[in-house]
Amino acid sequence: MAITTLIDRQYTAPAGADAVTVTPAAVAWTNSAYVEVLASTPAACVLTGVTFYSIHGFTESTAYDGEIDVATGAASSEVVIATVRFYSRLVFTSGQIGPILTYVFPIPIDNIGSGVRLSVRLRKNNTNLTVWNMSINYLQKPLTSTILTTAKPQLVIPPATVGVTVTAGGLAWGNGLWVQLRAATGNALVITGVVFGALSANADFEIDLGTGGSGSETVITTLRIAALNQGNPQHQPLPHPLDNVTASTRIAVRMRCSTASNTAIISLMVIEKPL
Amino acid sequence: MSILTNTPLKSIPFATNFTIAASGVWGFGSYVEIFSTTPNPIAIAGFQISGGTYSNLNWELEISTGAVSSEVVVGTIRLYLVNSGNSVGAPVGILLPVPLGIPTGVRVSIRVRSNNANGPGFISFNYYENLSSDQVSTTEILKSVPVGSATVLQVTPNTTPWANSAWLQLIASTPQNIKILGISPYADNVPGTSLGIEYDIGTGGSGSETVLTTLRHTQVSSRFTALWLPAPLPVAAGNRVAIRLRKAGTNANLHTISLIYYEDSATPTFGRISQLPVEVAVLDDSANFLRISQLPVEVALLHDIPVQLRLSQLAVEVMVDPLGIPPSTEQIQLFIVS
Repeated sequence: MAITTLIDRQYTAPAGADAVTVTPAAVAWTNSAYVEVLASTPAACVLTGVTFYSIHGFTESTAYDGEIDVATGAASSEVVIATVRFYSRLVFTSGQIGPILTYVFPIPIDNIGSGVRLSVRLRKNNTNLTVWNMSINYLQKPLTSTILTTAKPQLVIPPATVGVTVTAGGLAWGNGLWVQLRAATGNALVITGVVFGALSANADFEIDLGTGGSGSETVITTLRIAALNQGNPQHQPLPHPLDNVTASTRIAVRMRCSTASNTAIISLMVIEKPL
Repeated sequence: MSILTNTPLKSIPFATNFTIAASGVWGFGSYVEIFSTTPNPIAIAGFQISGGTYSNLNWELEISTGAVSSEVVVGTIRLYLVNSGNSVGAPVGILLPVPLGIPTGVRVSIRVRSNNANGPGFISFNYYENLSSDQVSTTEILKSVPVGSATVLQVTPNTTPWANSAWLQLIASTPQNIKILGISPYADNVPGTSLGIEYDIGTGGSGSETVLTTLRHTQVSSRFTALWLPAPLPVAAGNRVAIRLRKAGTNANLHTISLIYYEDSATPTFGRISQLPVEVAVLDDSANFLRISQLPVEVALLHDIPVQLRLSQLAVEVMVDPLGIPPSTEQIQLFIVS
């Protein structure tokens, strides 16, 4: 088989215009108001990603978790079709920012009708009111290309709360303890991304994701991450989403690090099966 | 087949990093071996870089296969690295949208170069073994433009907000079919672009470009060096590829661009057929069909070095179709050499 390609053009919204401005809620993990990014889709569409930016943290050098929802529907009747998790650790000079800025969905969301309003909102784990700028990327149907899409929403584990804190082993590159991300309940999942926040500087990390009961976890993937000056790629979409989490399976994470007992905050991007 | 996988990512090296260094301006440093011999078909999924002291760096990583002093490049990725310093924090980690497949039993090495002899000091890799997905390169070579000391590609933005820039040629004429993965964009200190940048990728002659797709970005991050498409964008051989941009604000700072793509192998015998389930047709000297099988055959066609494949106790030599039809990942013809 050949590599799957995408012939169809990608579009943006707002198109050729300033990103919309979203003002966060003043209460942690409380949704902002929705802000419209596209009044009416020109055709049925497939959501391929989100672009976002904020200077929040520029002066505070603060760390925080947040989520962005993309929704369809009229004002006050919005339905979330995708949630993107981000982690921000230090925002430096005015030209730079901490979190990833454009998140490309490994599995685009095919759940947008024609003539539909699209909007975005934000929540995060602090009360800072610095605004965020957002836009979205999408394809117009019918698609010429055969790519894997889903009508299921992009989800986050754990949702609407800070990710789990993992601690590396007491010796450099020693395994830390497993920390549960999901209890042994829920649908089968496809893992589409790992959100990683290193709290300390200048270290190399290995993140194991595992499934199974406490004490008998089996590693299902290992992600290597480098951090310097407390900067790191804080969001890693998995181009090959991991399709080996069955229903009612516990998910856990552990970490090894070049610095003993280092800590990090982890959350996952997932889509429930069947896709 | 699907982009989904149940194959775990792995990382290399464990508990350390590979040490890398360029040598002079656009001079490659020494090769660093990352696999003495691949234990199985692998697919390089991505890498992480750290260390070193640098700023505003055009940096290239080259991935090669082959024995010492006989390395052949199978992948080059060029990134713009902003700054290693405390003021911006520069570690970069990326996962390729389509990993670079390398067959079993092959030595893999890397080397780096940059426009000012500086660069990251360390690198590590994520990879798959026996990847259970066909979304992996097999015969394609990972490439970037510009290459090495060639003129840096920079788009001059229109100072009118959201007005298109002129098109900038990235490739005069694609020598083979390519699949565009994305771009590595950077513009230094661009106030106002927090409200958005759009990059159009197009084909066609100068003055008559047609937009193929659009990528949306925002104020450029020190830690965000590659802007990927949702899936690779195919462009047939013989096409001119160009880019233009429009953005918020009136800033006129140049946007440095590298295009990252897979290119079909120019020479069929240079194909790298790895772990894919291929349909194998075995023909005799007169092209008479002997057998066909559907197997997860592991074949290494490395850089015009014929290899032998044991198939049902029958040793055959791998050859190219005499009609010059390149072997594809779907069908490989094996001719018995008497």
